[in-house]
Amino acid sequence: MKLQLVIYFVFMLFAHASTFVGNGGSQGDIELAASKKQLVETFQAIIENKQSDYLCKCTEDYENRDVCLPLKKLNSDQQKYCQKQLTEKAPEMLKLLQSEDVKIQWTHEPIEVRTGNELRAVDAVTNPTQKQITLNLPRFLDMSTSDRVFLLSHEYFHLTKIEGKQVADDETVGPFQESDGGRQFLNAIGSSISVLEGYLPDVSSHRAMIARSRSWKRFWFDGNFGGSSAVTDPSSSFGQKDAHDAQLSFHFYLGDFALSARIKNEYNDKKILDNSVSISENVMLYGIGAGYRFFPFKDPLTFWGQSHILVQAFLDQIESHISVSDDFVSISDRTRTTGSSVYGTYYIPFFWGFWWHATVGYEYHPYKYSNVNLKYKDGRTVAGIGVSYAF
Amino acid sequence: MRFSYLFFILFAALISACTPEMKDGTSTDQNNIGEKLQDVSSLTTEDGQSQSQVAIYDQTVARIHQFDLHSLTLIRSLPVDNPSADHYVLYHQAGNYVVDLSMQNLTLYDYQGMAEHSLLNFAGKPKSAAFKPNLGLLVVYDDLNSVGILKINQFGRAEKSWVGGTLVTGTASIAAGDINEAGQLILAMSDNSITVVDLDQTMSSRKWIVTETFPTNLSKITWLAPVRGSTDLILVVSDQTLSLLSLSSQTIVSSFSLSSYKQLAYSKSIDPHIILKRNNEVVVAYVSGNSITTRSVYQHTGYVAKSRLDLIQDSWIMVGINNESWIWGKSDAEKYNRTVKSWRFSDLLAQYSFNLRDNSVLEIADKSLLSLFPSKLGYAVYYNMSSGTTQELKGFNIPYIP
Repeated sequence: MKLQLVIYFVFMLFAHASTFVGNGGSQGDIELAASKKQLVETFQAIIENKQSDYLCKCTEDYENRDVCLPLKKLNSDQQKYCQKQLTEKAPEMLKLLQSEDVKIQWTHEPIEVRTGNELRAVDAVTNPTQKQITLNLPRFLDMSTSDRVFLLSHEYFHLTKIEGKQVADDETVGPFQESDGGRQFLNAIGSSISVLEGYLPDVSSHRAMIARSRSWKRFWFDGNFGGSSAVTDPSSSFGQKDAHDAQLSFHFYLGDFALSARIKNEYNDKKILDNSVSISENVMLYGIGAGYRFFPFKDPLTFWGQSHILVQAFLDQIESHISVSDDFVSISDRTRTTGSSVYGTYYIPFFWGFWWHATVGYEYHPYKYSNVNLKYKDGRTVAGIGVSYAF
Repeated sequence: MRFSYLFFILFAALISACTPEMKDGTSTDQNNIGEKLQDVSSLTTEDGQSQSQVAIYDQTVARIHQFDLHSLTLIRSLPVDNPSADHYVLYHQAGNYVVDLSMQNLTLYDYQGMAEHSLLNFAGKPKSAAFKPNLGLLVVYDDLNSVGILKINQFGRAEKSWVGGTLVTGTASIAAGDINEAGQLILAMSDNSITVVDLDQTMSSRKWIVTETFPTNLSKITWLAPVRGSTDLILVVSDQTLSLLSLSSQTIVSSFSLSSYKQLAYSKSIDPHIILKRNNEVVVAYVSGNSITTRSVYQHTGYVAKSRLDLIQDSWIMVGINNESWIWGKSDAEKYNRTVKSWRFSDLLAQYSFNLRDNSVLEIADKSLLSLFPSKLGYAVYYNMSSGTTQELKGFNIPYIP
């Protein structure tokens, strides 16, 4: 029965994770949201007739890049048609991009479409009838920012109507008279949007959102430096009221629940009795625990929206060693005990999977050294700052 | 000429700047009553028997620690009054009491650790004491030449006391002295007479009660020691002469000229003796029967920190300081470069020799040696020469460091 409960609990955690889609809490959400923002702002620029000279043209910066290939193939008529359609359909595209009617669905499976008698592997497929775009998640994540913009422009343009009908890949459209004229036209649209997006500084700034670390990662390593202070003075001057520490910890997230393990080294040296007696204490702490995180800010697409607070409780094992010495004698002692601790850690995102964090906590693991007449009877408050990496 | 004066002044200044703290080991042993005080109690009783317990004053925690030397355990620790002052310790194992001497004060801790403070109020700092616990007598001599006398019962409680000045006979001051085995205070006076004081009556009458005094024909007496096992004979160091005096006959029964020797140490440790030196010849002069006798060993010894002669146990132990050169500005020079050597005295067969760690206070017994280091945490080493073992007492101050 107990095992069943555990399995049920774990299953519920996974289930919770899989339903957390579309709000920035899952894989691909940030990339999709950033790309859509880029599209929205690019079409707004087109509507406002900004940079109209660059429509369906390759700029110098993109001259040698693959994203320009569809534009380089255009003849004069096709280019004019592309410019015309982009200008005319920009309001409609903007509406579609901002509409909740268009459903985007992720899949981990390969996507294939039939072209004539052949099956063709693609990164996305659009069902205009259901207004549904299906994206291959691994492929989407692997793409560059401009490729994602290209792909989404292509797929969203499938949902617009030209001369009363939606554009299909394997049909002709306007001056694109080859059998896959629709695909060539939509690729030209995608390329043009992608080039424009890179050219418009306000729009390309959304790329930072993509590079920003994301909280949905499951595996986290934390490293931090800090200090601790005993709540009450130690029983003798051999004790350290204040100490420095360094900690490494690991978290595995199941949704917003975390399973954690940590190893911490607390150390301090001091001299007493006119600097004639040196004291060195070293404490190793090994802890396992669990935690839950919550997001104080709502929008996961923003810097603050990704930041979160992790509250944890640990069971700790402590192994400590003290050495007291003067010019003539050295006396040492070691002890082992168990204890517990609670922590609150605030994580703020950096880039490329790295995070900053600041932590405060309280540890309770009283212990004593018999050889040196020293007892720590109460807990310690702790604080630290550090860096995390999530993947 | 002017240049010569200048050179002379510079040379004189250089010489005075280089004056050693210690040219020989006798200066602090001279003009005392009893023996120089230490912060470690004796490892032997007054008749030469080993004590299994020792009391040590440790200034870090301002406490007197009492150790069992067999088990090397702390038996008890006693807090002292006036912790900022120097403290000296005497201990009697049979009565299990401790005497704490400090500036202007004497405190007695009985066998239960109960303290009696301010038993002797003298103005100065105690520098020596004659302690005969078997007779219940203690005479303390301070650096202002006051003499404190205390009668202590077998439980370590004071029965009576008195503090007197140095002018014992009304005309002469104390030059040196000690208690003999009859419980009399034998004093050498500034007029070179020998004076015998009845300590019990002196305390009762609260004035010096002299039972006899006689002239000696000696000059400048600086050291006096009753001969072990005798209530009649005393060994006296005067100007260039070591003399053996008989109290009963009031005559010098034996003498030995010191003029050709450098005097290295005077010792009352078990059998009184002095250590002399002439080139590489180290001479021990002592009393055998009714005469002064000497024995020589040829050793390179710059200075003697301690010497212990026990004729009954046939043992002579000497702690020599190897460095004969000037010891620049070191007031505690006797704690460095030391070697302890022991001989079977009857034929001067060497028993052992080893170097001691620097910077410790030493206390030696027939077959053992205690070395107390100025460790804040507390550190002493106990050498057992019988077994050849070394044991460490470590961290005994720790429980008392706040």
